[in-house]
Amino acid sequence: MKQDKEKLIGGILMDNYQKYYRLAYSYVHSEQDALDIVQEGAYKAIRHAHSLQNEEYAKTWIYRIMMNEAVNFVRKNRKDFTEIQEDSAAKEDSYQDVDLRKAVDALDEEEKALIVLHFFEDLTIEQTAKVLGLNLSTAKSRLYRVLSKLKLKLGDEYESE
Amino acid sequence: MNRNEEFEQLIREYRDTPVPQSASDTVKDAIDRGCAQAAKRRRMMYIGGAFGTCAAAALVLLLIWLVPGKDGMIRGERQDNALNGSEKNPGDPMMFEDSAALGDADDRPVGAVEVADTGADPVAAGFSLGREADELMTEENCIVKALECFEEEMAQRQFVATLVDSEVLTNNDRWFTLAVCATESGNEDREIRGYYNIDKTSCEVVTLAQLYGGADNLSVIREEVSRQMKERQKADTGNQTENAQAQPVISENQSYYFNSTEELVIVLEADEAENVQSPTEDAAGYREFVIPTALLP
Repeated sequence: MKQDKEKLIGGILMDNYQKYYRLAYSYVHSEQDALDIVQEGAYKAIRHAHSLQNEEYAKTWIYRIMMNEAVNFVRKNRKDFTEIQEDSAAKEDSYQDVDLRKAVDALDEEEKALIVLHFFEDLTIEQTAKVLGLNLSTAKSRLYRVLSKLKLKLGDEYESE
Repeated sequence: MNRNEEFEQLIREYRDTPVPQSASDTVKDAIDRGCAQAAKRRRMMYIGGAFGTCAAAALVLLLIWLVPGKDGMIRGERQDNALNGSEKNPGDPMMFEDSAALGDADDRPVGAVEVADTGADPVAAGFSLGREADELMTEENCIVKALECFEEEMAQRQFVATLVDSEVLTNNDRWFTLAVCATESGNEDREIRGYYNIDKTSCEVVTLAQLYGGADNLSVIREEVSRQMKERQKADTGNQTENAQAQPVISENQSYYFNSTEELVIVLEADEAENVQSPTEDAAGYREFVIPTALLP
């Protein structure tokens, strides 16, 4: 049974590693750091596969682990990370989307996670809420607040709460 | 380009982020490493369980061996006497005389005398688990002990863990130290960590106060931690040490462990070492301070 869970998690990791890499990269903007995050996240997911209660949630569970790894990495290296972000933002001053990019990068960890998971990774709001350990209505209202902060109008579904 | 179009552009860029070819191998390596670790853990549990069963079976056999029969003799005596051709009729009063001469079975220390009398080799008979197995049992017991303590701590803090990780920090002749870390998911991530230093001879968790009892020793540790905190503040903020506020509280139950060179390492939580940033601070804000052995008794 335990090996079955490891197989399941291993399969999901191999099928989706590109997504996890992009997720990590969006936080750290460094190839090597993103690879380190994915590697550590994959290791932890396999090691703790036995603790996964409901296999139905395996995908969101792995997302959560990867997200935790990325956020922890950023917290741990906050000083360096801020400098890199400022540098990369300065270099991209000529891009038209620099303001929005800056605004997304300036969001706090949970706000950024909402944007990345729901819009970039295309998870449903329910899945996003599960990954972040929020209930659905909280996730919706926070998403609405983040979109307002970014001055984005993306449909009525985010304005329902 | 309006704001929404900019956002769509950002999404496209995100999805077009090139993924290095090595990512696949990296993940595969991590999976292999994780599987190996999980298999090792399962083996440990199996071995622990198997040895536990063996120990229980051995105990039962030993009890059967030692429990006096209807004849009032223990099995070892019966076998010994039979081999010597001196088995007596159970009703024979002589038996009691002989028995009295040897000393009553109930008065004898259990184990050594009886096993020696039968000439049975306890190792060959499978009564000893052997040194390696004993060590495994000890480690298993230490892990169980540490996890029990951690569960208590989590319960006290009303902490509901979603992910628990552990690492053996020290495992020498005397000490077994397990660091346990738990993450709680929710509106805000929380992480707590426990360091459990277990004396392998007693299999009991030893607190800092038990180890370095006495106010003097604790104040030596406090001063050294304070000194190192100030040093780190100085490194982080240039030379502005005048305003440094480094007042650690080293409690009797302070988290600690021994590193590979057997130096004492004091672990402070974020709120125990405010305003101190250092390279040894980890994601959850824990900070470590190595206390030179020369300072301690």
